[in-house]
Amino acid sequence: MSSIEVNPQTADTNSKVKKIRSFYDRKLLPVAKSLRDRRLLLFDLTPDPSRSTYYVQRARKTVMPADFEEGGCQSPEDLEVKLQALWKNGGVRGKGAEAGSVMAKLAASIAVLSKELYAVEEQDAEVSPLTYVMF
Amino acid sequence: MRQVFEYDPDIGYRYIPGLKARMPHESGGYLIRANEMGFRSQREFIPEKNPGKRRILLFGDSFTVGEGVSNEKRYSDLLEKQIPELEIYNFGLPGTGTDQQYLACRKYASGIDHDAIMIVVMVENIRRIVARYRYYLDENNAQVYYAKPYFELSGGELVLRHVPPKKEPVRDSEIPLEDRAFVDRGGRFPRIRTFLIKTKLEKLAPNTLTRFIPYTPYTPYPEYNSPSHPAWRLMEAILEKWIKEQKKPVLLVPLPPHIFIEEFRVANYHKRFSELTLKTGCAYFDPLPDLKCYSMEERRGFRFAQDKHPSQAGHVAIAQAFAPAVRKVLEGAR
Amino acid sequence: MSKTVLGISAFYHDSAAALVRDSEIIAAAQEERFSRKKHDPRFPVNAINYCLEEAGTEPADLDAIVFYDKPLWTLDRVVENCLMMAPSGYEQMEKALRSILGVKLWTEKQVQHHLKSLGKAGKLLYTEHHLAHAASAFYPSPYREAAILTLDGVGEWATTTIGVGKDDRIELTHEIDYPHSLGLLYSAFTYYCGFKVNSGEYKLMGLAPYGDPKYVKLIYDKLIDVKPDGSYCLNTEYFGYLDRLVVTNEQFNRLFCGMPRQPESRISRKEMDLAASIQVVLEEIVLKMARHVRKSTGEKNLVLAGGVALNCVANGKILKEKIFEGLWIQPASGDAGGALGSALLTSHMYFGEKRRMNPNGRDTQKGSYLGIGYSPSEVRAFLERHSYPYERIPDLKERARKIAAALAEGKVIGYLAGRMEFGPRALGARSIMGDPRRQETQAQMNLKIKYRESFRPFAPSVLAEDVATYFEMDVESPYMLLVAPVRNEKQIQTGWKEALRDGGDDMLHVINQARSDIPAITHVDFSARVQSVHPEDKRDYYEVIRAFKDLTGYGVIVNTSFNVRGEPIVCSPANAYKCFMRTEMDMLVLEDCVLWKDKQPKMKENADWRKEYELD
Repeated sequence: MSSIEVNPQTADTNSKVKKIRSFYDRKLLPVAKSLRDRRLLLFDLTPDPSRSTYYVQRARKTVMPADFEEGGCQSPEDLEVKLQALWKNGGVRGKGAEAGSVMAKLAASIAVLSKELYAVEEQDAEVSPLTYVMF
Repeated sequence: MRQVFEYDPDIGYRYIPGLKARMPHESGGYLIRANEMGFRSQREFIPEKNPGKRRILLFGDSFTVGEGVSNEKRYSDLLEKQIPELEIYNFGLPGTGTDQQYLACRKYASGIDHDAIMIVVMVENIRRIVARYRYYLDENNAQVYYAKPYFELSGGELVLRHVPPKKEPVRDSEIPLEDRAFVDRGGRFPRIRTFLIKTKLEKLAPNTLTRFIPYTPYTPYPEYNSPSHPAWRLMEAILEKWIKEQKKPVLLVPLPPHIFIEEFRVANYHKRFSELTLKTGCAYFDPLPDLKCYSMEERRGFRFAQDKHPSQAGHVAIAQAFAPAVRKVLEGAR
Repeated sequence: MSKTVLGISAFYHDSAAALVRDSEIIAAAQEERFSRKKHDPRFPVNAINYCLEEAGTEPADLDAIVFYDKPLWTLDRVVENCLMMAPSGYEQMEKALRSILGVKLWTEKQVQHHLKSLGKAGKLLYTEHHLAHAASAFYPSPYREAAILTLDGVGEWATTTIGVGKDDRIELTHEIDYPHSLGLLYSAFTYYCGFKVNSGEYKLMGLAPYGDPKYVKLIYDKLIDVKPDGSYCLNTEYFGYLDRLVVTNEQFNRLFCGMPRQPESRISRKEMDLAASIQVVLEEIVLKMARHVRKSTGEKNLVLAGGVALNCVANGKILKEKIFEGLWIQPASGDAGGALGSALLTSHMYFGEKRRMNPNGRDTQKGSYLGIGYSPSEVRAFLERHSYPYERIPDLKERARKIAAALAEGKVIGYLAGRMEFGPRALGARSIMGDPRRQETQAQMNLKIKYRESFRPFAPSVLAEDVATYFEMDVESPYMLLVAPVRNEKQIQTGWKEALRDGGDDMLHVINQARSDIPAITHVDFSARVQSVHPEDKRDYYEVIRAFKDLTGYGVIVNTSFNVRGEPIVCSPANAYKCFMRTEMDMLVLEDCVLWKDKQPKMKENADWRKEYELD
């Protein structure tokens, strides 16, 4: 049984796809360009022979009860607030205030997009055979 | 989902002894436990009475066994809380008719010491007793038909047929020609029902239709309209035989489905049951007036939105309504 | 005060639920077993229903409901990935956002919708993905203190973590983050060699012994930089998972001189050699990590979890190198184990519950028999309802003798008894058994029972006290997570490698060679993935093997999972019966009932039933 009832392949679904495309072209691409212009790399893409280790120290080594209460959200409005807060701190891995403030520009539009996409995705019972399911 | 019933050559089926299962349901799901005798109960049914306890043996269908709620939330278990000396052995079996409930009493309850018997006849059962086959949904949600034992009136005597009933389910097309008129397909208008289910209008229908029914000529259960209706004569004969065989007091209770609780149409079954109780001398209680005292909003909350069975609130209201009649029967049984 | 916690994993692969009460594991199960959809990623309504059933608990009575992942953090990773890859990667981004913004962020709503409650906490809790893995490895282990190593494809960001567990507390100190992932590296080769990602990794592991590791240097030169401490960094130029929907890309193809193998096509020497090579690389990295963890934490025991920990050949190497005194691996090391880990983590580090150690010094995973069981009454009710002929043998030893006698005659037996295993391996609760002494057993069981590729070996279940008699192993291995060689003196050298090269990569004539006196479970390199059976964990299964030993002198049998290829392991008596009738098994055991194939009625079924399950 699917988790969320949907109407697959309807005109409604196509309009959602258009909204994703619009978000990508009008919101995400400019932010990506801004990061590139500022030479802000969010993660390494290739090895660095000069490093002695690739392990990074975790900012939080232990977990407190309050930590169990973060990581989700309850509404698009809540999502926007949490994304703003997360990215102003530089994201989960703390990539610095500058990168964070650039990314924070996306929070509002992602929240809007979430309203459009909520329950649009039929929870597919098929797991991809082509790539690791990581989102 | 687990298989919850096992074949019984006399009744048709009962719960698998010792079963512990959680049933998916619109309420979020509910737990059921069956004892070693194959009835839903937290306790084993033993012949001797427990010291200091007054015992009632209770018979009925899914409304009595508590489909949709777990064992301790049923009206029988709630009655025990209201009347501390009371112990109820709930022999309810879902999907059965009064005929099968009588057979269950005969097979499993004889030899169990008790103070009284309660026969709760869900009004719709009048259709089930004339049926030779009933439909069920199996664990794959496919519609299958099972043969059931049934009584026929022959020369004024009850004759039992289809015992043992065929074990395996049959498809609609496999039902013998002579039996095709005696198949309970779930209501008088199975095609409308199927349409409502397929179009998902059924989810809207329960509340919508109920509001309009009083304004239509539709009469639920016309079998109760006349004492000479064949279905009522059969019901009367079964109940009369059952009651007369008892050595202890019997409390007879017609339990109305939501359609009577939620609208103003006069219940046509009350007269028939009253006549029967005069004939047999058994105790009688009609809970409908008590249930109609609640607000319409509360009454709608007595059943689940999709499922017609009593909700937790429904069982609370039923227990509340039954309590005085039960106390009275126990008094009379001293 | 006793706390009851429900843990949920969902929406990636292998959804599952687990319930912990008073720090004790009460129930755990994967959704696929109920839904019959392999690796079912959907919200695990059935698994949750089972857990609540086992505990006799209603959702409103749960002290907490916890999810094994932080979707908000995953969204952070997805968005950062898109920003890094833009302007390429639109297709992947679209799929990712639809999934996360459409479903995964709203997990609390889903829980409320399905359970009609969020438990007493009134809200859904969340654990970090790798912390859930770490908890699943540490808390059920037999160790009061241990080093922790988790390795998988990716959680929110982390792909590898290192830490320490002490009494009730876990600390993760270091990590490696996306896009650098051993799990993704291995999956890339899985895909390239023509197997399915997310499910075919262990096939690649099984293929490795057939090949020569001739690509190791190329892998190190081009794909991955590994430091002496085992930390690593991938060269993402060669991988497709950052900006497309396939895990490799054209650069990868060029590096290995060709397109990926088509699934179901003939396996060539190239795939064998690639499998061998990536296995060597994986092992070397894992061993370096293990040594580093030993040194940096000072702990003498190690616990492992995460999908990469299912690579039991690598696990066997850790054991063999004696880097640690003790090694324990969570049987449900993949995502399903996250449900268990999140529930345990919540019990101990949210509610502060004390850990329960097993007084006999073993683990508290209960043999991983944590899933649904069916009473003898339920089995009989099923058989009677369908009028399937059976013989009831309530006495355990008598039944064991009957089964053992059939095994010794070469019969193949389907076995359903007790609570279902939690994790990908069958451990004698939902198993198909065979005689390991017969040369033809492997081919017969592969082709006529499992309907699968024949290069894959079967695994042995051996009496706990006889492990060292057959294998170079001196520890218990109850969960089939350790590979060890068959004892030297039992090995029969066949010159198979040369024969394979001369035979033009045709594995078939190599597979059926007897490489020991228990050929059905001896892989081409003499290795075996061992399950040691302890009477305390699974008495009935132990008695069967014991009876087989009494008859034949061999305290070891073939154990493979009870399913056909592409199908999840069977769950119920009805599943077991169906599988039994669809294959050429000879006998079926359902609790205390024994059924013979030749006595069963002909099954009325669609001849195309094999299309019911997509090949995995």
